[in-house]
Amino acid sequence: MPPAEQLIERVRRKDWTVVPDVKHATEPVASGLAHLAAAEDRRVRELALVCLDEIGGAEARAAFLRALDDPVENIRDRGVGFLHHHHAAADLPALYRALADSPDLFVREQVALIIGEIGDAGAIPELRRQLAATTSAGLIGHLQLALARLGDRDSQERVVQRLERPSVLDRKEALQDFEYMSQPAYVPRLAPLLDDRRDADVVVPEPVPLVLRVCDLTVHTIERVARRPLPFGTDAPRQFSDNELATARDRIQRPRA
Amino acid sequence: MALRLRVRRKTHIVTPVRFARAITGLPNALDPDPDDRGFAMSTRPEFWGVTDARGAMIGITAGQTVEMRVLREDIDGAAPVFITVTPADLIEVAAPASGGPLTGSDTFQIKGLKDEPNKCAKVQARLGDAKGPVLGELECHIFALKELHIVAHFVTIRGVPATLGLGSVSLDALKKVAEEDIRTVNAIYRPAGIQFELRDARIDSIDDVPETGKPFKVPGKVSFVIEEPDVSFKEVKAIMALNSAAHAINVYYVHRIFGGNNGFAARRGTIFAKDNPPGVVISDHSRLMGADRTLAHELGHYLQLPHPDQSEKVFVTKVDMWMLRRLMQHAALTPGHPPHHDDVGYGSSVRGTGITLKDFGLDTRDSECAILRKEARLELGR
Repeated sequence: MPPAEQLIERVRRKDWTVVPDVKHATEPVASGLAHLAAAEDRRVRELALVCLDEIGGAEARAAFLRALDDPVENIRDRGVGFLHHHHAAADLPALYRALADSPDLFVREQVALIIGEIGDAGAIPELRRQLAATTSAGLIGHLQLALARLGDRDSQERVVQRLERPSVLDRKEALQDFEYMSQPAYVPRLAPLLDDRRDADVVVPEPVPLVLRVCDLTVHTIERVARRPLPFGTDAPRQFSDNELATARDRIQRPRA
Repeated sequence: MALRLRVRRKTHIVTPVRFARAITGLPNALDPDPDDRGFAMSTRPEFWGVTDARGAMIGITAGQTVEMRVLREDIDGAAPVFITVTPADLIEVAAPASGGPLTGSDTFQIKGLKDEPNKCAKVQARLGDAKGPVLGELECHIFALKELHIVAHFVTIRGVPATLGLGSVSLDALKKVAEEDIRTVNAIYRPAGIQFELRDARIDSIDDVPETGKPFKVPGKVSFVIEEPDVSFKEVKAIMALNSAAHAINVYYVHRIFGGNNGFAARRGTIFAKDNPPGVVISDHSRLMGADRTLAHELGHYLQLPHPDQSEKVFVTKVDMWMLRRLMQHAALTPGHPPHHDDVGYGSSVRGTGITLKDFGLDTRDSECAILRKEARLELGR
């Protein structure tokens, strides 16, 4: 392991080869990186944040939260993205501030999702407050998703109802929202989509097209949200057989044995 | 002489001039290809801002000067045309000084000053002087530069290396070719405010497919046999996981890819990238078609853009001129195309590299610039 000072110096010199080396760095390195995350040179700030993402911990989280106010968009992107990886309930007050006050709509949307990922139902009143205050359609959608993940019934029902919309595009997006909501209790509501054999996603266009249908995408969502492997292979992209789809339906409609 | 016009249903527009790319030929960062699909402006992403301009739309990276051309459609070649821009804190005319009159090629230069949320700019061509009647207009969106890192892997599979069309396979020589490709890619993506930087280049080697204990089916080639996806998918997975660098887009150069394909991208969030790092694979075969464009196209897929001319059933559904101008169009310029499809502004039999800004409701794969920028923001935080 290179000494802490050497690692810090490499970050100061904007040497990106340092990233894998900081993964198991010690406490003094995190402190030094947190200091560099406020450096004047934006490229140093960016690399320091990337390194802190490798390390994690309270100092990293604090640096990511500070980055939400950075004047440079790329730095804000790094900060908010890395908060998806590293967050804790202690971050909620700072996240509430960013959710309410950030002039960057993208940051506010992502912060809403991060609050949902933290999983503290105590955040529901604040999310509802922001929902009532905003007119941004994008932010409203992200706030409702976060509320759904935290257990808000109305928001959960809204996510599930979207699965019933007729268009393939809506259903694809609804499946992604369903995965974010991450509520295994709602998995049986995916059953109707196992009958939707319409093409949804071109995996390989040539020489022989491989196209996944809505039902195939639904199988993957079932497996991820139910957190139980299905008794057939789902690793490779392919169209599932009628028997496999029936097995998936049977699995989600019967209570866990 | 006064002209009398009857405007029909408030949608009738008379535009003696239009705006066009300043040059024809290969992509150039200074000469963006405008989204000139009609005069309807469509919906914009929430934080882009809107103007009351009706006409084409372009993107400019903040701090960059670009060149555009006025096309005189229905006005005398000697009529003095001036360019004006608003608002002054977002955009300025760089040439000609004081906006006109335009001469010779009718080109002008404008500079995007800054990316401000919920604000965009308007460019107008006026008759006579800077306060004359408006002849045509353009909406301009100015974007903060987003820099995404690429790590290039030059992969030898069972002893057969990627050569990128070179005789030598030294790292320096291969890296130089990759850098040249990325320069073109950056010219293509500059109107969307996106830049790729080659952060590192590596020579990698692989013989066997992990999990199977078997060698790659064909030396030098990544295979994907549709009849046995469980087996062959592992070859794709193996390549994508090879010495993968964090916080970068990993681009794997190989000798050949299944199906004679030029390139392949595993988009994040798709089944191909499930539980695996996503990435891009480029074959030596792409050198025949323009490897730089192949890389630009595959990076578009990586950043979530689909083929706009394909239905989910993989049928090519659209082959109009505008489709052929798009970077993400899939159909090759085959002999079946009519002669006027031969040159869509980039040279004879050369694919276009346009990126759409407008978002027309009937095209669900539209507004490519917005998709790219949002995905680039997400990519930086992964």
